[in-house]
Formats: sequence, structure tokens, C-alpha cells
Amino acid sequence: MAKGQADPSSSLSPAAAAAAHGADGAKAADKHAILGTKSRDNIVLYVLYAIAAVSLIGDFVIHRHVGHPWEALPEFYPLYAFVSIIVLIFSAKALRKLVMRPEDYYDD
Amino acid sequence: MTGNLAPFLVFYIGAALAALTSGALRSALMLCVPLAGAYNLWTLPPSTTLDLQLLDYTLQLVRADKLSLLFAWLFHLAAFIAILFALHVKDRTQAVAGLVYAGSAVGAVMAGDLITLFVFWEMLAVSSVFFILARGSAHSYATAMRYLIIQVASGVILLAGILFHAKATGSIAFGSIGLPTFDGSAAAIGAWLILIAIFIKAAVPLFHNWLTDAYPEATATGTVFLSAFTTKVAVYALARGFAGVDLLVTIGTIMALYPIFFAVIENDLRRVLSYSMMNQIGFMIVGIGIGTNLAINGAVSHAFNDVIFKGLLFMSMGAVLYRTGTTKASELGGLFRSMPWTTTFCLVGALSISAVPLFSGFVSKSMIMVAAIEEGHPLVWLALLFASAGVVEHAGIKIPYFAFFAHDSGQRPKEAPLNMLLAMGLAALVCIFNGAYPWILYAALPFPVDYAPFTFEHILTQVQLLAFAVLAVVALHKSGLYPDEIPSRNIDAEWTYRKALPAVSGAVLALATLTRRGVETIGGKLVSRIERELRRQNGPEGYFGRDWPTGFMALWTTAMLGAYLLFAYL
Repeated sequence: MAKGQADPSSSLSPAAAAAAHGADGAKAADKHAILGTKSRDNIVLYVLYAIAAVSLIGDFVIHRHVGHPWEALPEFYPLYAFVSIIVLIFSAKALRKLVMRPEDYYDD
Repeated sequence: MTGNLAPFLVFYIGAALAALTSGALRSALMLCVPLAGAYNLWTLPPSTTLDLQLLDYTLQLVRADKLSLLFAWLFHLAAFIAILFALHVKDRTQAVAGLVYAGSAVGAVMAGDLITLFVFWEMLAVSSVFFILARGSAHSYATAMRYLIIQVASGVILLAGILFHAKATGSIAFGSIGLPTFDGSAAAIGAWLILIAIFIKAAVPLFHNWLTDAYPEATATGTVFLSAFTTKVAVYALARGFAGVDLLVTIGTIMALYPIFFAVIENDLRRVLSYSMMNQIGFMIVGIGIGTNLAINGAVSHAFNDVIFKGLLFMSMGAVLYRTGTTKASELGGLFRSMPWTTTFCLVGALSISAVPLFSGFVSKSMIMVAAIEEGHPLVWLALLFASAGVVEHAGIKIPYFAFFAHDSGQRPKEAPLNMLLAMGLAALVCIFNGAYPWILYAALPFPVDYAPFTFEHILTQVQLLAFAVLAVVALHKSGLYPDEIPSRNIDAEWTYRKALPAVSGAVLALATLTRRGVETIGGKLVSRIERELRRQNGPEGYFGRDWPTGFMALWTTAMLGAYLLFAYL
């Protein structure tokens, strides 16, 4: 990942960990820009933030039907989606400790 | 039938012709097959049936109703796209297998009776295995054999179920079967066996590893074929035979959740898509389990859309595999620079599966969600909402991100060949068309559609869900908490038959060998001891083997005769 923080599991493959840490500092900015340049990345991010913000305001403008009691909560969907992803990612990282094996695990 | 062929026959005849031709002629012919099939299907009179008398049974080779026709149309479209995508492949085996496979899928969904269904069920298994074998490695050969064993086993279980079912009901017609409580009766055993056979084919969790094993192992073009037919035939069979079965709601929910955790940590992007496929089928099975008109419509329309957008995603990864030789996230990145069209098409697939408004997933998945909440399954609804957020993460972001963006891998492969781009373009077009103008799809659904997808409320809640799921990923990414792509293998349920079972059978074998050796050693000692004793007594040196003088024998004979005499006079 961009920050290349030490994941406990990355001890499995030093090469991958090294690659994740990226190249030397100065050139790292562009190397890590997912769309080639940092400014392009930022445009995408700002558009995302704008959509998210508008959708938050929309919650107070558009009347929603309530099918589930939790749905009555203001900003239920953004909250639920955000928490879901956090729970999903952390559970998956925990799962990795349980199930991750070397690539050639099944090759005898 | 008025001058029309049975729809599967068009493909089978095409396969025979493909076996006899080669080069450009075969390519042109193969493209014509689904088109000819579509014409045949279009001119098929409504509610057509074609019966065939076989011994005591009347087989219904063709049954055209709304449900079967929708799937038949879908398979014609998918076959055309997959054939176009594979047009550059000069491999007769794969060409013939592809047409037989597509024809078998069409045959299976149009089968009016269970015996015909069984025949096409096994044809699907046998024809599809060639896409895995065609990879040509020892690895893929082993995978293909595992795949074939499981697929054929599904067919055998189906046949057993059909026999019980036919005995109990006296009919082999394929209609609603339902799931009676298990009381040991023939009807119950039959229904359960048929259901288990379908579960295997649908890759329901714990029966699923053939899918995550084989699909990433098939050829770049083969997986596109594979992803379209087998599991969707199973979804059709569930919709036909088990609509409204409560158990399916639970199973579908588990199936929507289970694979998303694996998808997050999987390194091979085609395996991520395989898990993603299970997740989407989970949604469909929930819809079938709920069983209302809205839910069935949702399940069936989502199956339609899923074949196209999942096919599109598999095509984009197929193009990457074709150009770079890998689909491992840890080795890819930055490909958008040299493969812009493939990237664009992949993004359309990603937006569709994520159910972004105006893309196809948006108009079909929501019907299942609404049905879940309306029919009183609040927990299922929450679980599906969680799974929907998960889809955004692994299929919406992870697939395009790690292949085409992320850190630059330095690879600059050529753009995909023209036929691949055309196939992806066509699939992308269908995704956008169905998403923006769903009314044609809606009109083809089995029940009248009383559902409006484009309400402000629906668009708002979906945009909220999507935007904040993406935001969460961005936040985790920026804080370095998002899991790295690590070259690795994640063990799943297949561990039981690839590691545990061989280990157990190995242990049993070792124990047996040990026992045999023990018996041999102890028994051998015993036998040789008896032998030694016998030899000692009877051998040349033994007591009974001694040379006796003749006089000694004469003496004893006289003594015996004397004894007789004595007894005679007593």
C-alpha cells in the first residue's frame, strides 16, 4: 500500500513488502500516484468528497421510507456503509492470520 | 414446432461444423451460431413444447415459457460475447467445447423434464472441463480432474434425486418441487438430493471450491465461457423447482457474506471475481427463497445482469492475463497507461456490479433488497446491505484498482486485441443499456413488474451507500490499514479434500501397512516355529524320519498278530 506500513503478515514475502515500501522518497510522490500524477488523484478524491457531502445533505431533503427501524436514523446508509467496510476489512485481516499460506501450499 | 429447431440443436450442429472447419471460416461460423440460434428462438411460437417418447417416459426436450426463454436469450447473448472475445484463439478443442457448452446450457434451461435436465447437466460438466485442460499445465490438469469429479458427482446426485422424485410423484416433469420436511419418504429424499445437486452446481458455500479452484485456472478466454453458464443454470433450476423455500433465504444470505471476506485478501484477481460470483449468486438465492413475484423478478433479472457484468470483469482480467501472463494483484498495477480501453470497460463492469445508478446492477439487485424488507426479513436485509458494501470494495474498487491503477508495476503491455475490445465493448453497452433503460429486461421477466427503480429515494440511498463505502476504503488506504496484496494462497473449504482427507487417508494407509507388517512378523514367526517343529519330528534327522531295521518291523508285526490272536480267544 501507499504507506507501506509493516503488516505482520508481510513477513511472508520480503519482496512484496519491499515493493510496497516503494522507491526512494523524492520520486515516491509520482510513483505512488494511482492515476499517474498527484493532481489527477486529488481531482478524483475531491469529486468523491463532493458526492459524499451532497448525499449527506440529501438525507434531509429527500423523504425516505423506513422499512427497518435502523433506517429511521438520520444518515443511516452512509454510516452503515462506512462501518461495514471497516468491519469487513478488519475481519478479513484477521481471517488472513487463519488461512494465509505460501503460494505453493498445495503443490507437493 | 413449426420448422424451428430445438434451440440447443443449433449450437450442437454449430459445434459439429466447427470441428470440421478451421481458420477464418470457423471464426465466422462460430459467430453465426448464436445469431442463428437467436433467430430460431425469436421465431419460436410462444409456449412451444417438443416431446419425445422414450420407453415409458415422455421427455419434453423444449419448453418455452417466460422463465426458460429469458435464460435462453441470456445464454445466446453471453455465448456471442464469449465467442467474439475468444475469436483470436486457434484451438479447435476450445471452439467445439464452447459451442457444446453453450448449447447444453440452453438445453438445460429449456428442458421440460428432469431426465432431459440431467443429460444437459452432465453435458455442461463434460464440455466445460476443456477450458481448464486447455491451459496445458500439470497444475491445470489436476484442477480439471477435481472440477470434473465434483461436476459429475453433482449430476449423479441429481439423477438419484430424480429417481426418488419420480417414484414418489409418478412424474418426471420439471416443475415446482418444493422442500418437504425430511421424514425419510421418497418425496423428501428426492427433493433433498436434487437440491444438493443444484447447490453443488451453484457453488453454495462448502460446495463451492470447484469454482474458486477452476475459474482462475482456466484459459484467459475459457473463464469467460465458464462464468456465464454453469452457475446460472443452477440459479434457473432453483427458481424453477424451489421458489419460496425458506431455507434458501438463509443459505443465500450466508452465500452473499461468506465469500466477501476471502475476496478482500485474495491476490489472484480472477479468484477475487470467483468469490464475487458466489456473492452475487447469494443475492439471487435469497430472492428465490423469498419467492414473491418481486423477489423472483429480482433474482432472475440480477442473474441476467450478473452474467453480463461478471463476464465483462472476467474479460478485462482475461485481457490482462493474455497480455501480461498474470492476474496476480501483487504483480500488476498501472496498466491504464497502455491498456486504456480495457481499463474503461473494466470500470463499466465495476460500476455495474457495484449497482451505481444508471448501471445494470442498480435496477435488479434492489428488487431483492426491497422484497427482503417487505417480506419481513430485516436481518437478511441488513446482511445484504453489508454484502453490497463489500461488493463495492472487492469488485468495484479492488479489481480495477490493483490491475490498472495502484502503484505502477512498470509493465506496458499492448492494448487487448480488437476482438477482445469489441466483446468487452458490447458487454459494457448491455450493462449501461439495462441500467439506464431497464424496461425491455423488465418486460421479459417471469412476472409483471410493479417496481420503479429510479426514485429519488433509491438513488439517494444507493449513492450514500456507495460514496461512504468508497470513503471508508480511501480512509483505510490513507492510514495504511488496508491489507497489502501478498503473493499467497488462502485456504478455504477445499483444504478438507486437498489436505485433510489425503492426510487422513495417508494415516489410515500407514496404519494398515503397520498392522500388516505386525501380522506378518508375528504370524511369520509362528508359522516358522511350527514348521521347525514339524521338520524336527519328521525331517531326515527327526524321530519319525529315522531308518528302522527290517527285523524291528517284523518283530512288531508278530507282536500285533499275537495280540489279535489273544483277543480272538478271549
